[in-house]
Amino acid sequence: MTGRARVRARGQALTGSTVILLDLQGMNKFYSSSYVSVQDGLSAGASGCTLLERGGKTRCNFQDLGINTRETMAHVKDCKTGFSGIPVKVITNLYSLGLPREWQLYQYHVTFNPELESRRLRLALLYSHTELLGKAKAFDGAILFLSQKLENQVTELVSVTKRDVTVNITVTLTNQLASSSPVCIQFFNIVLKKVLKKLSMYQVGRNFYSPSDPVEIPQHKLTLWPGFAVSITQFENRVMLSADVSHKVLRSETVLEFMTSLYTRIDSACFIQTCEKELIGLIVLTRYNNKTYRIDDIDWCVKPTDTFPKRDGTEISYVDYYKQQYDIVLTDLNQPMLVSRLKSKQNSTVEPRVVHLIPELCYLTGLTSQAISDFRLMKDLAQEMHLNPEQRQQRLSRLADSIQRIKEARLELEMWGLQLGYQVSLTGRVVPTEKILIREQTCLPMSAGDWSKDMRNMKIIGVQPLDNWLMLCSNRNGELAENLLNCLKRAGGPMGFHIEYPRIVQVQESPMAFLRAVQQHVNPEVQLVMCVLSSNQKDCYDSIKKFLSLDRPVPSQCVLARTLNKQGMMMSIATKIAVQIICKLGGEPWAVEIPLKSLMVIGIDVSKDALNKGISVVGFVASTNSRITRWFSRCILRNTGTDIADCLKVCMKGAISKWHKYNCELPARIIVYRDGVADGQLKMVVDYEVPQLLSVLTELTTNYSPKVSVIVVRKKCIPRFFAEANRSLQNPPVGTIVDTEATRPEWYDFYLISQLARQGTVNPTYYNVVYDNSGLKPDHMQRLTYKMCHLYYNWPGLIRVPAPCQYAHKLTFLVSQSIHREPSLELADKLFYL
Amino acid sequence: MAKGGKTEKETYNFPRNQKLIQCPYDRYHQIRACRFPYHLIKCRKNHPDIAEQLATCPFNARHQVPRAEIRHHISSCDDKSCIEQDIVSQSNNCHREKMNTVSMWQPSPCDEDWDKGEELVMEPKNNLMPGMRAPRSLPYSLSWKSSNMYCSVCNCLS
Repeated sequence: MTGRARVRARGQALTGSTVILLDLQGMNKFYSSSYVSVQDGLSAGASGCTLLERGGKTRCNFQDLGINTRETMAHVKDCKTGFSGIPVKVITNLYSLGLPREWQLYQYHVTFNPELESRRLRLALLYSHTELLGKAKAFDGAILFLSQKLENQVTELVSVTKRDVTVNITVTLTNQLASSSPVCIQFFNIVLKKVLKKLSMYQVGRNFYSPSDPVEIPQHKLTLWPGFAVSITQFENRVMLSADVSHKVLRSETVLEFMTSLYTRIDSACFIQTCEKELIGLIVLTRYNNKTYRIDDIDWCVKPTDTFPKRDGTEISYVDYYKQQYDIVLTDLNQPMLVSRLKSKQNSTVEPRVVHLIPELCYLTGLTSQAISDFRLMKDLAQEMHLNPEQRQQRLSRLADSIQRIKEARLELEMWGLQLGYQVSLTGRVVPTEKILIREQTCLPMSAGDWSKDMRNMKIIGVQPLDNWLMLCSNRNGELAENLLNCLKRAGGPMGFHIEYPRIVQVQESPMAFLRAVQQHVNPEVQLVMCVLSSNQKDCYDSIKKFLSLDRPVPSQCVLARTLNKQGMMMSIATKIAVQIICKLGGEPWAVEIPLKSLMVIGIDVSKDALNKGISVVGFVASTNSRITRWFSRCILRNTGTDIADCLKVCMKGAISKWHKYNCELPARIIVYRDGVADGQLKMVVDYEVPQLLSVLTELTTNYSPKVSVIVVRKKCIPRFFAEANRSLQNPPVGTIVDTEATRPEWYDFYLISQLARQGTVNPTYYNVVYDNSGLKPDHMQRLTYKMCHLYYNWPGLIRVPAPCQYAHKLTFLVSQSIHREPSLELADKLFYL
Repeated sequence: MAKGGKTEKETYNFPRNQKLIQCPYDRYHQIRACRFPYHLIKCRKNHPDIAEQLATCPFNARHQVPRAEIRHHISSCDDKSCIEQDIVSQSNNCHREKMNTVSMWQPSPCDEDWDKGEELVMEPKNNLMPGMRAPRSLPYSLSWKSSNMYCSVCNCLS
């Protein structure tokens, strides 16, 4: 018997089935493109079909399926791998699914004559034909998926309803889907959900957690649910299951407890206002159904004893409802209601549903900004959450093991011919260490990815002397300021940075005093303003930064007095501050070798304004010299409400004209790194943002056709890599590149580890080249990207993303948190935001 | 718990970014501002004839304007403010130029030249950690080795 026949035979004894709903509107689109055969792998037409799940939640295209950018780039169609470096064996968190080559999913369209309104009835009638359909079937009322092909293309069945009505059912084969097709991939992920549910794991958001194995952190009133981010994807050579450890952070206090403690702490007059300010926008979890909701408002007029209409029209009180439905007894009958607006379907114009939630049953999730700045809390959390490779592997093994061991889970997979196979390993390459170029020397860092020690007593490439500057401090911090000055001079000397004595102005303690002093003493000739702030008051910092970025554009450096109190660390702190100042003056600390002439590198990042809802902040940083040591930074704010940028044409034009001004020619090569792209947004980058960037080039001069590449940078990805060393698993060395197995066949992509992880598991950075007419070898693209990770001047070491992306991130951070307006372009050629 | 506040149950504090924008390809489509770019891409495919007639505003890619009207749009677009600073700063820049000294440092010539296709030939520094060694033979044959690429050992085209 073939494998499938065996499954079918086994199928008789089993019960239960997978029910999947499909978007009928999507299906009609799918239909009109006649019989689509998918023998050659990906079917572009299939992306028109979206699979819905019961409950109406649309599965967005989180895997960015159906975007085939690789075929547009001829030089990587056959091979996209590099070749430099030393091979290293790498174990991944990817599992094969044991799919035989000929595996196919059969799709049928089912019609009923006479037509039946009730979906339940349609399901019941079709499913009554169990011997014909077999065990593995999925039907939503119109479309049927089977793992085996029926004998005939068109099958006629007859069923009789309970009311003795004879119904003719016609089952027509419409498609045979290979395992790599987008519809199949979505289908697999739905099966995967069923498998994980059988392991008592709950889906919260897009990941799965085990509420039954919580990890308590009582000293911080936090609970962690261990879990996994799991998905099935078509990777380079086969379909694999990827699993990464994830933790859900829950606060052990309910919203009611939060409200009560807030009430005791503050004035009852401003209670309502403060309560709303604190709670609106937060995500809460209700444990009776493990669902998360966003608090959109608080209704102070409704109590649990009030009633609401049920679906059948009868009225029931909230108290009774929760007792009946979930067997929960509410204790506080005077609490207000939280209001959450459920997400509406994409194109619906109907007003979305609103639900009332009981504060007593809602647990706050995530960490407050207060919690994040609590050093001890973050340390304790990291202990539990930041697993090193060995611990991570243990958790993965346990998951794989339970899928195999627990019968119900395994059978969900086997029913469709799937099984959890071996953990995949591959060969990566560790590229050569980059040399750091400073003024008179070249240094090869002693420890990989960190040249802070090597930099001591070495002359930086160049900076103007600092002769005209201002230092502000409060009256009682005068001594600290003097001390800092001396250390700065001592640090600057060996670096080749000449620092003159500044004008020191002592001010009173109040935040307004600092601003007034700045307004009074800063004239356009001043090169830099340094403020020694006595406390971390955001308002003070913001007002100084605003004035010095908008009204009087002068670079500024703010230092907290408590940083300067750490006596033993003064020299290293002073060195760091000195390098920051150098950058803010437009200086160049170090460089790396760039084996390409006339290259401009751009980094783009987008963030949301913290103060003004809906305003997005686009950061655009472009190199201005061929050594790639000077940068031009632009930030544009728009009321768009999304992370997709509309203003890239203007930014690109500005960057090219700046480059032209400094180099007297146009750049021959332009490489753009786009960070800040979330799952499901790839299509927008390819179809909406890239055209904006390219539209500038055709308009410049007629002969100008530079080689352009656009690369999407992802800091977070599910694949993880471990290296074997000394019979244990460790992080792969910095400079490891993976461009096989864990990549996607329809993309020109690679992973690069440029992060030095001292704790936990390293996060590989994922690069997806979505546009490239340069013909640059993949090897060079990879190594150039690695070189770019060495040029973030705020850190004498490697960073996780290319430097221009980190600069763009820092810029948008400053603007979205403190300035809230576009900074003056007079500061554009200095890294004033470090 | 204290009570008070809202008199009407219906007025909730929802984000005000719900202004609807008309689709340039189909006037019956009214789209929320935050979904607009996504809709443009989707709808454009279904109306290639209309897309042909429209030009994109250089200041904001959302603005799809008939070609005949694009000049007028450019001169009156709200988002034009993003280049105003460019114009102002260009005139201000002349006096600041003297402050931004461009360093005279030139790097020593690079070993490699990727424009010509020349790669690193010398033995690269090993970044592997003490317990690790490079495998002497690879677990399975690598697909890239058989392709038309430079052989990294003897620098020949294999």
